[in-house]
Amino acid sequence: MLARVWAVCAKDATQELRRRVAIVAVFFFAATALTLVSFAIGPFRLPADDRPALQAALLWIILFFAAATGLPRAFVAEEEAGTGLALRKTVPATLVLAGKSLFNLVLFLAIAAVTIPGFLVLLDWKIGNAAAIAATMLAGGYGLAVVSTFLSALVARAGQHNVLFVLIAFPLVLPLLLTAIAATIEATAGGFPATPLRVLVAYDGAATCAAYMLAGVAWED
Amino acid sequence: MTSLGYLAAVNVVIWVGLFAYLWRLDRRLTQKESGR
Amino acid sequence: MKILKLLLLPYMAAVVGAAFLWPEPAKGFLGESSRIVFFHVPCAWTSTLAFLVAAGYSLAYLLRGNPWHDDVAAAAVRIGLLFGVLTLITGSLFANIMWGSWWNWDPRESSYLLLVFLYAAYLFLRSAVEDPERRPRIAAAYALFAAVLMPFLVFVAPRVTASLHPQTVINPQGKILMDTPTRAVFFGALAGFSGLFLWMLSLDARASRLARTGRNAARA
Repeated sequence: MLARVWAVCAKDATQELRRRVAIVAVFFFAATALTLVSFAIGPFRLPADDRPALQAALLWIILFFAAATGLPRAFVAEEEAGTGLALRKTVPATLVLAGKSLFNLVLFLAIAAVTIPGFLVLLDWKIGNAAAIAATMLAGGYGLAVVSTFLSALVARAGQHNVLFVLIAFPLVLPLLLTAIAATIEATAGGFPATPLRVLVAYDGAATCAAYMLAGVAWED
Repeated sequence: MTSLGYLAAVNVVIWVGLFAYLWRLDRRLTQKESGR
Repeated sequence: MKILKLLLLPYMAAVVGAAFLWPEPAKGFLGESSRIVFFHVPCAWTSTLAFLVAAGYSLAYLLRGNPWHDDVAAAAVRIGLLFGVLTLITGSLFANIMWGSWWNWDPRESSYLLLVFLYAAYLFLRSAVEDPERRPRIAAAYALFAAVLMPFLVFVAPRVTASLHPQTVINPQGKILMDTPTRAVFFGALAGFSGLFLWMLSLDARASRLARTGRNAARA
């Protein structure tokens, strides 16, 4: 079972890497947003007291919008390439969803891995508790990946799917983003954000259960 | 006190209007349903 | 049924009248502004109820595949949105009197606004899926997925930052902080709004069913 999840993920990865445009666009978007923010604000424009909060919010805005250009592709790309039917016939819906979520999680972590070093340098971000930041990225990225993969399956065969994805995703991921920002603020200051992380894990669990139960409805015919 | 009474009266009138609208809609739907 | 609907006329008239005339305005609020509680909270309650009904009927649709359940779910979202918008408007009126501005981006206001967006997106999703066979399923999947994550929006997000919103009815002390007339009118209004909701829901769903069967008849 795990092998098939992995196979779906690997298939998506090779497909996206071969086509390149979409995946390059995601990282280009992250780089553009980062440059814009550091140009407009720079490290020293931020008052010292508000710095952790502003930096955390800016970081997550960059991460979210860069990811939002790539995450909804999970199922949309499948429909565009016309390979949806074959996949539906050969792999159960839950495993397809799991594999694509995994790919989206990897994509998010890659975006974070590229963005964070830039953010550290350009905005003079001082991380107090690196382990807590890593945990936040993992828990936040996981929730974002699962929710956006599921919603991608819903919009894949609807008209206007890009606009539609943003409209239906934003209210659902906002609690996740707010909590992730709260966790990042606390971790930046050096503390361990126990409560926000707990909320994030609860959100991840709820999203996983719902996506697991509804995978067949969303993806199969 | 009088202004509160005025507000109460206005709101009751609005409610009666809404009720009349819903009541008519209900009757028209029932007619259409039996007509089919 | 007909008698219950007819009874709603004098009942709600009495509740609406009493809301303005019977209880004393609550302490700690400017002027008569506390009376909005008899309209604002029932609207919020009704829209929450509507979204729960929508989730329930979406689940029923997925289990049974009966198109009537989809009619009811979509109707519940529409009515829920109507009451949700009324909640925002009444809340905004109160905010203007108490805090001096119509909109403050208070966490509670913001999360409620997003809840309205969430279900507006449901209707948008419905209209974007053109295949009539697939539409109810996609809509039901979204409604249920949204229902699972809704508590995070409604209960968690407003508590991440401090709010000016008055204590909710379900408050930390676990008590209903009201005197007797206030309580009577308040729960009377809750019951009346719920009844009104059920009526409006059945009207909307019946109208959808008529439109649907009419389309099928035209196609045959």
